[in-house]
Amino acid sequence: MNQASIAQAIVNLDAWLETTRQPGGYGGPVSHWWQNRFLYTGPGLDWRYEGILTGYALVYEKTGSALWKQRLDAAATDLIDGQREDGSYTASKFEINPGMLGTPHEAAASLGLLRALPYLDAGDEALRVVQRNLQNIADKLWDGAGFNDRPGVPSRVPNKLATLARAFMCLGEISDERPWLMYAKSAMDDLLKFQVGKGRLDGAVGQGSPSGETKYFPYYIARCVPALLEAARVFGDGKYERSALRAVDFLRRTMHADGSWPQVLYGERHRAEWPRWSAGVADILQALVVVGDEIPAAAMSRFAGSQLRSGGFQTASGFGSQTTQRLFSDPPDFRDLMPIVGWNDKAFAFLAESLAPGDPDSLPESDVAPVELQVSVRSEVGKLIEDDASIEVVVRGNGVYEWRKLEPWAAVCGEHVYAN
Amino acid sequence: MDTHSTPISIPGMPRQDGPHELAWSYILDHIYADAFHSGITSLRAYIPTTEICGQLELRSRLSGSRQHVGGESSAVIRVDSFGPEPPRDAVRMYTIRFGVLAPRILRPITQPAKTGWKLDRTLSAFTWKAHMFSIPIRLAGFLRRPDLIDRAQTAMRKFFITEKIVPAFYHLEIWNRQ
Repeated sequence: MNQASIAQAIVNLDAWLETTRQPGGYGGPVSHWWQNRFLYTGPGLDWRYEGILTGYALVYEKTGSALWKQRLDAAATDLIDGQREDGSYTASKFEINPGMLGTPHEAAASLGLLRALPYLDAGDEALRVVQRNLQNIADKLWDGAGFNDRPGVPSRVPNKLATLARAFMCLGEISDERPWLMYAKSAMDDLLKFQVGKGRLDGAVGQGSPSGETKYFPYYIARCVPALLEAARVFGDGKYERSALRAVDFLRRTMHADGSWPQVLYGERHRAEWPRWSAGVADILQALVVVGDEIPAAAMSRFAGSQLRSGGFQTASGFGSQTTQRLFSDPPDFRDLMPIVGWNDKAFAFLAESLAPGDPDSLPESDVAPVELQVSVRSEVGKLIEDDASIEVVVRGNGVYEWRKLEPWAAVCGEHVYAN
Repeated sequence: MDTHSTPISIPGMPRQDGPHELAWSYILDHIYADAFHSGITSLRAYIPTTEICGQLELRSRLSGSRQHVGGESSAVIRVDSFGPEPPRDAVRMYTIRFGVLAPRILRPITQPAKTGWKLDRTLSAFTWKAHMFSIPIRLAGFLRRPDLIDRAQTAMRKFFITEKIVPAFYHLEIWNRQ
């Protein structure tokens, strides 16, 4: 992508993100590998704020335009106002929303807030919010030796440890009120235990127990890379950087010729190819960038081509093949094309990183438009229709899904949509 | 939307994890989505476990407050016949019943008639088909095929909840005051 197209993509995505705002924050349904949530469409104070706050901070840094500062302050206010008494964020569980203590979601949101801190009107309050949030996470998930994924349940999840460590490292460089850096080092050292040391999976970081786990998600491995580089800098230990380079090497080896990545590798023999992320692939591309690698042209082209006319990026390709793992449906499954805020934030942050500095008026006007796309809903063909006010899915003239974007609950949500 | 929850004791109530946690989350989502779009402004709930009460409180907070023509409108959430009779001003009733897949201890011998109410919609959650998927999931585990486990779990999700009345652990009934 050249700078002109990056700039246009940013303003178009910003225009789309603005349509998803409702009282309390950025809302909308969620599609994910683990499960989907189409009924609850209200604000999610989850990892979407990592990319949103990081992205707007970067664009503001690079242009100085007051518009981006307004976006930044509004997003920060969502988290400040949405923090509960115990320090958790309301509705932070993404695909399991509504729920609290989402992992890595709350840490990711706090990380975004830390990134934005220097530019916020309410910077002091935001810092207190982050401290309360990370303190709550530490209180609930630290078991004396490391961080679990759920309170009281022994479990270590590397990509979540990575996000948590990034937040701790960032806070630890501002405040020594608690042992943030000790927590971060513990998390990163636990992460290293999951990295494969040899063979075809060399460099991959497994999901689950260290002793024989067989699932490797390229997307989640990519999310470990920035944390590893940060740990190398903060702790002055080259082992973290070497780990990051090996992880990126694995990512390069697993990329398909069309610039996509499989969803999961189960050991060396079996895979789940589908769905393949589109908006979220930005985190994989960013992992390549932060170690100084070139982004393969096919990957950049596929990413850029997945932005819809509405300004949002499509979520994936191949959701319709998640069960069979055979050739994906034509037309695409509705979950492929329905843009999701919590995946689009990754695209936004990546684009913002890629943007060259310019003056406040350097970004163009958005040129988004409503969309009408052919989609599959189970085995039937329908249409996905999106404009500023709503997203609908219609099959044979009947509405099977409708999200009015200002509302926290879908107005229509048929069985073939919510039971997926 | 306001929700006033009263925890009630139901002997034999399953732990809130795994498929039961998922079923309750779907059921509560359906209740609050319906209540929001029906113009309900307050809910009285008689619910087992404080954990589920917490889930109601969260959804209530997330539903915000709406101004409706016609003013305040209330509804009640009950589990089977536990809890008092719905108040006269309740216009909608959400009844969660234990179905044939639930242990006998949870299922009442008779269901009282719901005089003055008309059934609007039903939902079956944690259905018999979802239960049956435990067989291929266990087989895949025995064969050490985590890829097949994931595919079976994905397939199971399509059958976990349905608008049809089928054998299931839970049923949600949405009633309108006549």
